[in-house]
Amino acid sequence: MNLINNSLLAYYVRRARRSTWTPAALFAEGQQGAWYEPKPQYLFQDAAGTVPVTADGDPVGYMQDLSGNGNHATQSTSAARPIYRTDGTLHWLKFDGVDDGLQTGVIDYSSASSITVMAPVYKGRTDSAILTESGPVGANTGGYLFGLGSFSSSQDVFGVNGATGDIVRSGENVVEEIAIWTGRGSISSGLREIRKNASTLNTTTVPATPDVLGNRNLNIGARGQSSLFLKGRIFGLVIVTSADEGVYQLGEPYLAELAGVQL
Amino acid sequence: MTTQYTHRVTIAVPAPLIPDANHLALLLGESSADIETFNQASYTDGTTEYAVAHTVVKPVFLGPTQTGELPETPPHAEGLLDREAAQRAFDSLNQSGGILMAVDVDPHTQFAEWGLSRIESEEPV
Repeated sequence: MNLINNSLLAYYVRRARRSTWTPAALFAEGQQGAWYEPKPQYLFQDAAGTVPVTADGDPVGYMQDLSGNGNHATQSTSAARPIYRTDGTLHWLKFDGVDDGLQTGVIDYSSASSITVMAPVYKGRTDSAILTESGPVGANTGGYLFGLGSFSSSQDVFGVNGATGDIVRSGENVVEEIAIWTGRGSISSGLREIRKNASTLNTTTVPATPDVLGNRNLNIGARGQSSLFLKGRIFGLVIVTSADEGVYQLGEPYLAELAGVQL
Repeated sequence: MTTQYTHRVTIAVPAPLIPDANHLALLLGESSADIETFNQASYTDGTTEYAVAHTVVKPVFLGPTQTGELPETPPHAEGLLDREAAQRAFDSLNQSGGILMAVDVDPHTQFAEWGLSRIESEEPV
C-alpha cells in the first residue's frame, strides 16, 4: 500500500513540476540562446517594438526573447514580416514561403559547444526551408542549422559545426502536420540527434573537436532573410546552449502544449 | 480587435525594374527598410528573372491603384525616396514587361498563373 501511495505521490509531484515548469529554467545559469512564444503580449508589428500586435492577422516585426538574453527577433522590411495568427486558443506565426523571416542581432556563443533547438512546427510543403539556423553548417565553422524539407536526400536535417557531414537526417519529409521538432548537438562530444514528437528519429556521432559555436545572427524561417523560406507555422521556439537530455525531456511537453499536440 | 491588414498582395518584379520597385515599396510601405523589399531575383518565367514579395496590407495601400495617383512622401521615406523611380514602377504595374501585382490571392498559386517558377540553386547545408 505504501509503495502504491509513494508512486502516486511521485506522479503528482512530477505532474505539478511539469505544470509550473517553463523554459526560463533552461537559462537560469546564464545559458545563451532564446525562447520565443508568439503570443500578442510578446509581439510587435514594427521592428522597433513600439506598435503592439493586437489582432489575428497583424504582421510581426518584433518577437520578444523571453530567455533574458535579449535576443529579440526582428524584421525591418514590411513585406517580409510573418503574420500573427490565433484560433482563440493556440497562437502561432505564419510564414508565407515567399519572403518572410525574422533575425536577431549577433549572438555571443563563444563559451558554448552544445546546442538544443526545440520547436512545434507545421510544415506546409516539402520544399527545403530553414526552421532556424545561425549559418549553413557546411560553410561556417560553429554554425548550427535546423532545416525542414528536401535537404540532403529529401529529408529534414539538423547539424552543428563546420564540416560537411556534421548533420543528422530525419529519414522523412512529412508535411501538413504539427510536430514537435528537437535537434541536439555537441561539438565537444560529437553528438547529433534529431527528434520528432518526443521520439528519436536519428542519432549519430561525428568526430569531436575542441571548438565552440560561432557568434552569429539567429535566423528564423529563412536563410539570411534571402532564401529557403519556410511555408508553415511556428508555435514556439527554444534554443539553448546545452545538449543535456533534461532539456528536451522538459521542453518537448511544454512546447507540445503550446501547439495543442498530444505527445 | 480586428486587424487593419485586411488585404494581401503578391508582387513580382522583373530584374531590371528592381531599383524602381524598391522606391515604390518605400513610398507605399511603413519603414525606411522597405527600400530593400526586393533584392535578388528568385523566380523566372524562362526568359526574365523576377524578385517577389507577398505581404498583408491595409486598404490604403491599394488607394493609388484606384486613384491613379501616388501619395505624399511619408516621414519614413524622407531623404530616401526617388519619386520619379517610384512613378516609373507604378506606371509599369501589370503592363507588358512591367511589375506584376495581384490582390487577395495565394502567392504560390499566383506565381504559377503568371508562369513563374523558382530558380533552383544549390544551397549549402
